[in-house]
Amino acid sequence: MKKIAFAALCLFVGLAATGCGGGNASATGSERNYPNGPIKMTVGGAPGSGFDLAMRTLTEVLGKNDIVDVPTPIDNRPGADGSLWASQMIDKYSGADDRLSVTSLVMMTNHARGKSEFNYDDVTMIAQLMTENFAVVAKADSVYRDLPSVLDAVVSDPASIPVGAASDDQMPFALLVEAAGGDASKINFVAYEGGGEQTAALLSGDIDVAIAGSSELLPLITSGELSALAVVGEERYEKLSDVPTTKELGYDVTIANWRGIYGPPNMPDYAVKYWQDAIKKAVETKDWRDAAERNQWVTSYRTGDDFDAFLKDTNQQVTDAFTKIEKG
Amino acid sequence: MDAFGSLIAGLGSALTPTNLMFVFLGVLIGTIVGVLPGLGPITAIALLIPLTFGLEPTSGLILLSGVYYGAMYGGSITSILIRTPGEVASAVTALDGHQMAKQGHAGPALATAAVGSFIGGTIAVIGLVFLSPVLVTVATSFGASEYTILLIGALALTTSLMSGSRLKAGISVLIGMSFGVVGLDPQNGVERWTGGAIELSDGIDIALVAMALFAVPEALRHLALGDRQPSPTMRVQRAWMNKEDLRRSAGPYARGSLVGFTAGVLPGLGPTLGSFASYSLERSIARGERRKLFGKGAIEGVAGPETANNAAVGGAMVPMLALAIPGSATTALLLFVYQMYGLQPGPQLFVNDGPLVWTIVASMLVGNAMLLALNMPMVRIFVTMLKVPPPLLYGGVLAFVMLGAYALTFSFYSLLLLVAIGLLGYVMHENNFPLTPAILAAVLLPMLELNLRRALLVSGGDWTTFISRPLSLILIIIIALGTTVPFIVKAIRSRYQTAAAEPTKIDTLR
Repeated sequence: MKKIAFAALCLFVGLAATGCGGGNASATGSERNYPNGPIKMTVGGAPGSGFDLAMRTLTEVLGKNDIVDVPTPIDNRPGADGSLWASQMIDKYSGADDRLSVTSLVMMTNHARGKSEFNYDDVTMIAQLMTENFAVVAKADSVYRDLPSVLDAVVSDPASIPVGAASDDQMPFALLVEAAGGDASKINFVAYEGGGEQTAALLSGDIDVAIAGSSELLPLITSGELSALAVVGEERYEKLSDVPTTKELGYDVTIANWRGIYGPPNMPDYAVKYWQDAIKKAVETKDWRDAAERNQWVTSYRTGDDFDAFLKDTNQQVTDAFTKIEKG
Repeated sequence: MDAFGSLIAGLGSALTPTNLMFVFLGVLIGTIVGVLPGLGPITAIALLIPLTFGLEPTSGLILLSGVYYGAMYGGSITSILIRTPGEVASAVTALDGHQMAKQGHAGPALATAAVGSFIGGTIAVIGLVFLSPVLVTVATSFGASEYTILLIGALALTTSLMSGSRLKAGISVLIGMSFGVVGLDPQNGVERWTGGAIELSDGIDIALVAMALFAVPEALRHLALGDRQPSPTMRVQRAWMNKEDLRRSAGPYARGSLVGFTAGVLPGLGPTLGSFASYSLERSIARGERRKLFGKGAIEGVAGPETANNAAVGGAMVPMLALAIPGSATTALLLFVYQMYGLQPGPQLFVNDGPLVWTIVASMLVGNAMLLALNMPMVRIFVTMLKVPPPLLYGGVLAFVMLGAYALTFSFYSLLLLVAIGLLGYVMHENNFPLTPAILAAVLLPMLELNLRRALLVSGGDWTTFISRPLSLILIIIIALGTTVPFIVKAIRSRYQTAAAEPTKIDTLR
């Protein structure tokens, strides 16, 4: 048994080392020969989180398709939805060209809610990988058959209709209520962590309505226990093609979750350019498309001005929504 | 319907050489991480996910499921031998298991844990196969009000874990609760007790609290004693269960399976609550002399909880597979792995990917049998661990605990927390504060708060929701009867007894 235990020790020390080892990798070169050393990919979430899966898939695709030929070790530094690592990037690695990380809408919501002092414009945003639309969902036999009836109920008597939402997913619903003429600060939000908890609460009758990422509640929508009332955005979601969008229903709310790759502040231009090109090649491969299909990602590669405009617009919607939720 | 036929077909494919190898690998890794204090199934699964990226879905899922239930076997071993639970769900096993080891009964304790784990695990798989549709209905009819009531009932159970001074036990409960408060408020995200430290905003991991309150104080105590050799009573150990041990374990096996499976099926409760509930149940139904033995080496206090935590793992698979509702952090991670392989748990899973799921379910049966076969001969070898000189043994324990704490968040901050809480635990331990109630309180308080607040939000702040919902009312009645009837019975009994037993009665109450 001691041998086995020793072997296990080696295994885990080894695993931990591949995850956490390294030390101070210095800058890996200049414009001419970039990159000539390992690029550290840090994930601000635990192994198995959404951030982790996106980063692991990306590095795997980059390596397998010979797009990047230097090592891209992944390092997990979970904490405060990625804010913990973002603050390290800003404090310690400004100007470095050998560090990348992954972030999402949560960076903006954490900033808007005062949970993090940094936002997307404090780091170097490199490229957007994907987007995910929100969906408003009810139990299949609920009295609420469509989005307008839900919003009417919330506008006239907010306390009577508890709305299940992860704390970061509250703002699209708040914007919808405001668009329908209601007061977002009066919404009876009940916080749940993730689609599983929301499913349980919808089925037990605790809540009538939930809002979540459109893929999160998909299994029970497909099987008919839950029904999707609307998808937040302009275009219909492929897997819920018969569900109307908020735009179609006449509400001008289009905010969507997104994931993207960022580097430290003041990252050199040659490095930014290099990774924009590499990621573009990566998302065009079959390996990436297969992974996106499996994980229900909607790939949307954006860089430069296009990405900046998207970030600015989304951040404005986030800030507005939280101002409205918290004014009461 | 044809569940039986599908299971047999699943068994067929689980028994192919490749799949057998992955079952074996999974349960072996599971046992090892279970044994190692600090490394729990969740850390192990998280660390293995990148490696399973390239495997076939069947192989990957068989492997990772094996790690999960295998860890429940391993967790008891260190609990019993060195009073250091390998993972949180085995914490309660240390109470009587380690006392047994001190009396030279480590062998029977380990054996009953292994047999109980096998029985619990197997019954859970059978329940999963044949009762899933019914259980799914039950699980989804539990709302926040029902959970609140259940958790209050569970908190009342902490009293049964108390020994010695009630005041000290109460303080211990409060300390445990205060660990549970740290972090972001679950409803509106306000920081509590974080002192502005962003590292604390995710709260303190319960696995870290368990390590700090069990492993660290125990190790420090032994190292502080400075013994170079293990105590002589620890060196002579009976290796196997006798008939009496087996007879005493039979009831706990049956009740533990039921309690554990139920705790597993209800999302959010899980193995830890299952094992604590089973211990309390065994203690409360024990009679006379046997009851006094709890905390002093009652085999029932090992058999029940160890059966229950394995049954809970099988139970937790029910809502995860059938409804995509993970009941715990570990099942949430497993759910993620299914999705990573492009499989979508939910009502359609058995329709779309039937053969694969049946293979995995069947592999759990095979894995449980394998674990029993693996653990039985090991009992003798594990017992020899007690002959290791304490400085080496406990120095090693500390090293593993540090490694485990680091692996929880990959940050130095966890190590600081471990040391700080560990020192507090040592001081408490040296002053006879019971530490088990602290752990249970740290597990329960966040769950209770979450559900109480949800129940009130959902009902619009109406406290009558707890008695107006029929299911919740039934639970209140059951808990009320469960807590009062034993006292009434006792009161009636004592009336017929002579008053001579007055001084000893105080002892029993303690």
